[in-house]
Amino acid sequence: MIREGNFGYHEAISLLAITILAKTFFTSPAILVGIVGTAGWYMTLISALTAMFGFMFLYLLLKRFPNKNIMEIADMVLGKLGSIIFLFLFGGFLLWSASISIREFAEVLKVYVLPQSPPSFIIILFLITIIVLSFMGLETIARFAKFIIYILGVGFILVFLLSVQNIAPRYLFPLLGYGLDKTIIHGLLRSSFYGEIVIIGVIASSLQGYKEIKRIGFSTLLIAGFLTSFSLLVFAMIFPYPVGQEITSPMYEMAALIDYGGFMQRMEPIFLFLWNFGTFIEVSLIFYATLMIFCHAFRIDDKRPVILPMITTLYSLSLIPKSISEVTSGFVQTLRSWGWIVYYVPPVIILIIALIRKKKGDSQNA
Amino acid sequence: MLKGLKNLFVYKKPSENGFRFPEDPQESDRWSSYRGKTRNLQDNNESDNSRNHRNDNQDQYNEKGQNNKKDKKHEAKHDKRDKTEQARIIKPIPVKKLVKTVNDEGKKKDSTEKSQESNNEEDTGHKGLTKNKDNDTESNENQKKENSGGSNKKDKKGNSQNDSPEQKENDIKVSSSIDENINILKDIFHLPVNQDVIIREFKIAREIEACVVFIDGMVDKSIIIQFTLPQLMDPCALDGFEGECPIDFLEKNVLSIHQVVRMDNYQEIVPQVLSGLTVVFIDGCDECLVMESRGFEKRDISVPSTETVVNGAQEGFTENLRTNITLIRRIVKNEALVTEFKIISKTNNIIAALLYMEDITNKKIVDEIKRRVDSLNIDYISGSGMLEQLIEDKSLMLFPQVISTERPDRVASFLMDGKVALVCEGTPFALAMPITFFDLFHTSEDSNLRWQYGTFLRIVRLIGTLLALLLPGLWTALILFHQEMIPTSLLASIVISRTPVPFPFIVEFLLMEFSFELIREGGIRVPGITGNTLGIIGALILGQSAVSAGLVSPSLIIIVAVTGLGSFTIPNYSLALSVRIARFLLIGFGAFAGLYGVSVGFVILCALSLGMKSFGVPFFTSIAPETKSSRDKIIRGPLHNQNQRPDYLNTQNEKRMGDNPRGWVTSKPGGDRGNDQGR
Repeated sequence: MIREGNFGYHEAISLLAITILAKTFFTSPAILVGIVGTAGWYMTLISALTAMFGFMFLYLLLKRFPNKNIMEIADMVLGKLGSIIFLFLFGGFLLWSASISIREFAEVLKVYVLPQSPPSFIIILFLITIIVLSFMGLETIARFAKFIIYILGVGFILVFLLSVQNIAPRYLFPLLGYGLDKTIIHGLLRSSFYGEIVIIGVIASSLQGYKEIKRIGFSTLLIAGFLTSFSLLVFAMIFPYPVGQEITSPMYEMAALIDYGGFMQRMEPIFLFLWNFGTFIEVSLIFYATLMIFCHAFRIDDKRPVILPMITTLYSLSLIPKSISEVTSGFVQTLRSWGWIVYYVPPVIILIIALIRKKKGDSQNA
Repeated sequence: MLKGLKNLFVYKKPSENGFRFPEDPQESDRWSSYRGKTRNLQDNNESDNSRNHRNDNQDQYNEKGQNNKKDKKHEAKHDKRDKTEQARIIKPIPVKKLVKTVNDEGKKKDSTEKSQESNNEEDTGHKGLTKNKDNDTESNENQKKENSGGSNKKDKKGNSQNDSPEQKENDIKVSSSIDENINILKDIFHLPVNQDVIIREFKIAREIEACVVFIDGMVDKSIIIQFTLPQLMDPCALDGFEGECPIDFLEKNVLSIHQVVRMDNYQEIVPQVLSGLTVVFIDGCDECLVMESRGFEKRDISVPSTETVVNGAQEGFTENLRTNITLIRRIVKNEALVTEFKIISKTNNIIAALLYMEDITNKKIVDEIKRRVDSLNIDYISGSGMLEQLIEDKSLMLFPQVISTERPDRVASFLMDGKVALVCEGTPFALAMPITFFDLFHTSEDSNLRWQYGTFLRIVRLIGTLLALLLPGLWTALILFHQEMIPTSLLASIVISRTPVPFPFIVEFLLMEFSFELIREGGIRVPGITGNTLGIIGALILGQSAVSAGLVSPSLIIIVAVTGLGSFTIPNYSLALSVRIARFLLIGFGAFAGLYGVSVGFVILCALSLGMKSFGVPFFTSIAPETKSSRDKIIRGPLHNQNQRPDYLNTQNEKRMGDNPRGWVTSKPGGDRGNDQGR
């Protein structure tokens, strides 16, 4: 049996914030420049606020059913069949999003670091790491996130500090990008960027009650929103927007541009580690959440035997896209634009049904 | 056959229903309580079983009636139970005997019966007494089962199956005939084949036959030569004595030995002889005198060889348990320091001492360690290294889960933090638990130096550790996969230096790393100063020659040397070894998939170590998971700010110093000491 265990405020925030922020290392910033121009850095703040609004419903649901996770709540509110359908769809979506993250990672890594390696080689190595992390359990994943956040933090700050030489504030203009209306609409839609916050509902049993969940959820979104906005701001000031939308991984390029003489140049090895660690945590959390959902849906107590079959499924799913362009402009774009439907709507529906059917958790255990 | 083999490896746990001598004359608490109780009991005519027992023993010579025998048996049983509360005995059962028991169970039963019969000629109640002893043993076993939560039911069952014939053999009572006692001793100790057990026969005051039994080399001969034989053989030794058995008279009036106890059962006596005590048998007495006389050779206290410091104590542990405990007690002079002795192996009867602070340490940790130590079922343990492996949480993990140190000051600081120490005889190391990575990373010098210096040393050590772990893997990845990431000038010099090298890079690298490991291992194994010389000369000659011969590039020599130096900065030997192994894994990952591979390897390593626990405490506690800490991780705060004991230990007393540990830092003249909540 894998023990989910319990973890605290710092571990949970590290885990969720890294999961959300890891996406800034890939193609999303470039796509964003293509959509809203130079306004990406504050558009993401609108997305973060929208995500907070979406998370509020999840929080209300978890508050109504204290000490229950989203799967148990679904069982109570939707009934057995309804719960299985919901969990199957939700888990399937998470697995699909994990597969897209892996493929995106593998493709970008192939472009910049391992050009001669096939994506399957990169994906297999990646999945080996995910297997180890999953076998160690959620508690270990959370601890790993907490442990690595110091390294990520130092690396993140270092890359941005060293990039100061390349910053040109004039690139921020026009400030309103392609128009305020476009910025707001996409800001609302792209709240999916922060969608992984709903995983907090899956791991709710490992956290210390709904009050802690509230703190963790809103703090994570604030931190992630601020750091994403800061990253996009720096990115927007380094690359003019016509150039920015052409770059596969702007953050990686940003690190590669660092040049302080013959020796202090090309800092991408630092960035590469941030990138890898962040993605490992992101995918391992999403994968583990999926594992928990499926194991709950099919009443499987021991998760270990399910890991390998699910990893195989994940591997197969990640190989479905034909090319990097299909991944970035198709799957990733769809996920970022419409993912909010799966992330934020189901908790609202479950909450409404719970209110209608007057279902409520045991308040004594709160 | 299978049952026989099973029984061969299932050892009877030493009974805990008797008295055992304290390890050393200085350890007199238990002894005093026993003596005190004996004296008190002797004063009390009616309720004192022990006194009655002795009186009955004396009556035995006068009245050998069946009724009195029955009373005596009953009282002896009670006497035994009283002793159970006081202490425990060592009951060694040689494997040879176990084999004998297994193969010739029936035969043994017969011989035991014969032995009993022969004893019954003088003591008809012996058989019944043995039965009573067996019952006592069973009740103790049951009690132990309850204590250990029935975790070892199978073993206990095996033991109890094994116990009966062996129990009978060892449950031989001391005879009142000296000749019979000598015969029994010869039988037990395999005399005259076994030549280091000495039985010296003599006459007390030229009147009463007696003998002393001891093991040559284990005893301090002056105890026997100066304080035992001359006084007993003195013609006036029995002046003023009237009666049959002079044992009480001799104990109180003649023998000037600091610790003497009476015993009447070979089950108790034999382990004491094996431990280096001297036993006096007297004709006409069915008890003997067991005298403290341990005096075997031991190594002097010397400087720790693996944990040297510049600023700090220069004393290290030795192989002697009592010396080691004394070294700790000299630092922690506090009545709350509790030492519990435990026999951890079953055939060589190695004793380990469990030390903890009664009013600081979390009882659950103590109980858990006791549970693990008590449940060990192994024939032979040579020392703390084996013990560490037997009690650690996960044996598959690369990193140590128990800290092994040869510094008494470190153990003392661990104890004061609320950790538990295990000191095992036979090795100059003590174990402390639970631990975290930071315990392995710190040295006692860190606290002895001012916080700035301590912090600086820790940062140097951290860089050294990271270099030792990551540099070879990163270098492999850069050379094999990411040449574009190396600055051009550096890349040019690397390429030029590698031009004459005929091997692929990874072969060249592994060759050098392996050579370095060979030098290091060879340097340790070669005795004395030659080892160090071999290390230096070997490294110089090998490195220079390898470069001259064009076998390796100079840049690689630098990388290997820096890695080696980095690993030398790791203060804990086990941690250093685990880093040395882990670096090979990362080299493999680096050669397989470049920096991506190194990051995969690093994540796997981190995941495994983060999931690891030491007695329930996660390995990276205070960082992941985050707990309260007194600025004592990598950066060490000023000493007076480290007022909290480690949070993860859940100690009974969390504060290690008062609110104002530096009482003189106050506006009030003379200083206000603040609330002294610490110890």
